Amino acid sequence: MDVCSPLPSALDFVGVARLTCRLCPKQQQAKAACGFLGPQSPPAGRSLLTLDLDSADGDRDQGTATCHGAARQTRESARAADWQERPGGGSGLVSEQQESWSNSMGGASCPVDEQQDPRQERPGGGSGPAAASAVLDFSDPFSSEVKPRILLMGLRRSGKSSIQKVVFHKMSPNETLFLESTNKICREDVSNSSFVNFQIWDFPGQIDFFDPTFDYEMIFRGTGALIFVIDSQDDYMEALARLHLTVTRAYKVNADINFEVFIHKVDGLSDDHKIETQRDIHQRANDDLADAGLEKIHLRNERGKAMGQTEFLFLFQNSGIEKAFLFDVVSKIYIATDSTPVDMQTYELCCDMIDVVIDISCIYGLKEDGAGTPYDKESTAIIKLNNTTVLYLKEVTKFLALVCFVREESFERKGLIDYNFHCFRKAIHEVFEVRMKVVKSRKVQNRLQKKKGATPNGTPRVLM
Amino acid sequence: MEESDSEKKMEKENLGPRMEPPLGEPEGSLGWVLPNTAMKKKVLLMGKSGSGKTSMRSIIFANYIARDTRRLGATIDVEHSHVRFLGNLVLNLWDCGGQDTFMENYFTSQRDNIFRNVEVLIYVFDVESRELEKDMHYYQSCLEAILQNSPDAKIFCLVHKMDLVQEDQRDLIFKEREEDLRRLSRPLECSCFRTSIWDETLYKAWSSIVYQLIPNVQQLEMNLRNFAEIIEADEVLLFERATFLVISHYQCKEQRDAHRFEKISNIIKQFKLSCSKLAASFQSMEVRNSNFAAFIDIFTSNTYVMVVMSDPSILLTFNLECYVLK
Repeated sequence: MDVCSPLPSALDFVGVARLTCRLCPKQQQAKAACGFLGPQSPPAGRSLLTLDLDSADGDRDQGTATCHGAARQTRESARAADWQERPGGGSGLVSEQQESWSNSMGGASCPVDEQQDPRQERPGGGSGPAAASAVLDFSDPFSSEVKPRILLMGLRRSGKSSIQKVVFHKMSPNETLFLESTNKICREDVSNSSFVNFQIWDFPGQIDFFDPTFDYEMIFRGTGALIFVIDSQDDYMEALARLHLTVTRAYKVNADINFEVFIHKVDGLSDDHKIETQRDIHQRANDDLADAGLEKIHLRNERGKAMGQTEFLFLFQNSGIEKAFLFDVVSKIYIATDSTPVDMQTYELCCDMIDVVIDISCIYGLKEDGAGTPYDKESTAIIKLNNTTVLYLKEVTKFLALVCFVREESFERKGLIDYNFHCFRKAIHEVFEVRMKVVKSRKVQNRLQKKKGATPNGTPRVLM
Repeated sequence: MEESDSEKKMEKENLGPRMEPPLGEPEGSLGWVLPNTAMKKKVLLMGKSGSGKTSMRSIIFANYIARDTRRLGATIDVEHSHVRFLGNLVLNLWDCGGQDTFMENYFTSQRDNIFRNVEVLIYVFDVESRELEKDMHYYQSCLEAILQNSPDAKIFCLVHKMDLVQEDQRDLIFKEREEDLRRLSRPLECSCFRTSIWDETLYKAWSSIVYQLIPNVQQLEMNLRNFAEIIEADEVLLFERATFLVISHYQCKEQRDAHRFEKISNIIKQFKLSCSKLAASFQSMEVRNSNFAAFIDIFTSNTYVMVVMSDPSILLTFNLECYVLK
């Protein structure tokens, strides 16, 4: 049981996992990163873990975890060559891990606790599937909800990882210059720092659909949306071919997937060229699909669509607010707006305003010892423009802010606006409270069910 | 300082207004002199071709955003622009094209013309330059010319395009360059800054440069201090209105971030430019959270002020047009 094979040089990857040992239903937390600078074998009796996880902090740690004092081989050295250094962020290949994990498992072994979507592929042998699903019970309260999944696909160097980093990790676009190529599928769970609650899967540029280690059926089946990124500065014919291939394959598996095409890197093009490129790509892509008989797939070429719509009460119109948005502060995606049409410039101005507020709050808004967050319950901002418009920002929840445009005259009745806002904020909080209650009760139910299903020796029964 | 609108600024012409002689004086008359109340200071901007001189100048004084500077072409010979600063100060910027033929010219036939009466020399080094020897050679020639013609000039060296260097190496590389430059500049003294148009370091350098040019800046600071003490603010910053460079500040207690001045300049300038896309500009701003409140408002016809309070329960409305800064 203690085979720890030597690993090739300089491999770092990051992640945190909770492991559940089947022998002792204890959970062990392991920060895992294996970095060896040469083919040395790790000391005997220690186990090395390679995990694919969502490390929000991107910490690099060298660590090991043991269970029952036995070492577990995490992967064969041949596969180890596939692991490469990846700066900041979780990396790892889901299926490969599982496969190697199950390969190495003898009798008792420690399955990895998948905190995310339980429908992971388990192509490996033996204890794979059973172990995996059994682990569900020990997961985090909110992750028992199946989070919607978004896939980011596209050719090499089209900008997928940059998009993800800039939108959800507040990386500055200039820094993305230094991002390295994604080698494996990278899963990020965007929910800790943002209201928007889903998983993003960032795929490497060249993926082979026929590679048996990737179970695309499983991946596509659980997907809500597929975003295909096309580099508009490059020749996009190959991208279109790939898009066609990807979309047809995905559609066959799951007809409910929303397909979006991001025409990326348009900052380098002139305005005319932008429109022309967009039209061309739209035309060609839809033509290809029509040819294949899949007219029902409708590609959309927009960026930054609103994620969902909630009603904005017409109470706001009475306060003299011209336009209002409910923004997710971190990603600057607006969750909701009122019924008047949205124009790009207004939206961009609101984004810029949020930037200014957060940046200034980062400089002055922390307490003396550095405690506190820049964006907190009392965050407010008022910006008066010289065209009699006033931009008003107010915190709604930890992640959300209301940004509205008010006429200067109406702003003189600030008291009324504040009161209406107060009601609105209370309502939003109530909505979220209801949601939390539902989730909690679901979790409690799960626990009860599980208890009923537990076998005498403590090993939980597999949930169907 | 007038701001040209977007069509005009895309052309290669003066990035500032032309100075008109005062009323009554015939135009073209050689005898006219700027009114005494306006002080003219000559600023030389030199450096190798492509090092970033015109880009920097456009961003600070002509409201370009960093991305727009891509469209700028090579500067031919010297470009003059007059930038009005703080009402009664005029910066006479000489943006000298850095191509070899021009440089040779500056040190020979145009030597006196260029290097006389200089208040500030700004020399720009491209951190990625492969011809360090040549750069240093030109720099030294400049210094010689300055020593002869304007020995009291202040020298600033900007190590530019630092964004192209990996973050963890920036300090190291800059320190090396700074030492070399200090050594080469003797007996003259030079101040070195590392800059990039993509972050706030540009504002730090130019704030310091402009600070050297403001007359009676001490008085300004004293007035600001009085003002701050009256309103019991934690920190007060004074910005020049068009460029948003910090020209003076007062703080009554230690703040955590030593780079906040240039960051704020950058943040507000960027926001100002975003507003201008909607053909609007902002007049005032108030940002709060539970730990602080910051107010930015027009102060005098040429300045903005930013007041930071850590007691956010104080409600402050500014009405300070009557407060005149000398």
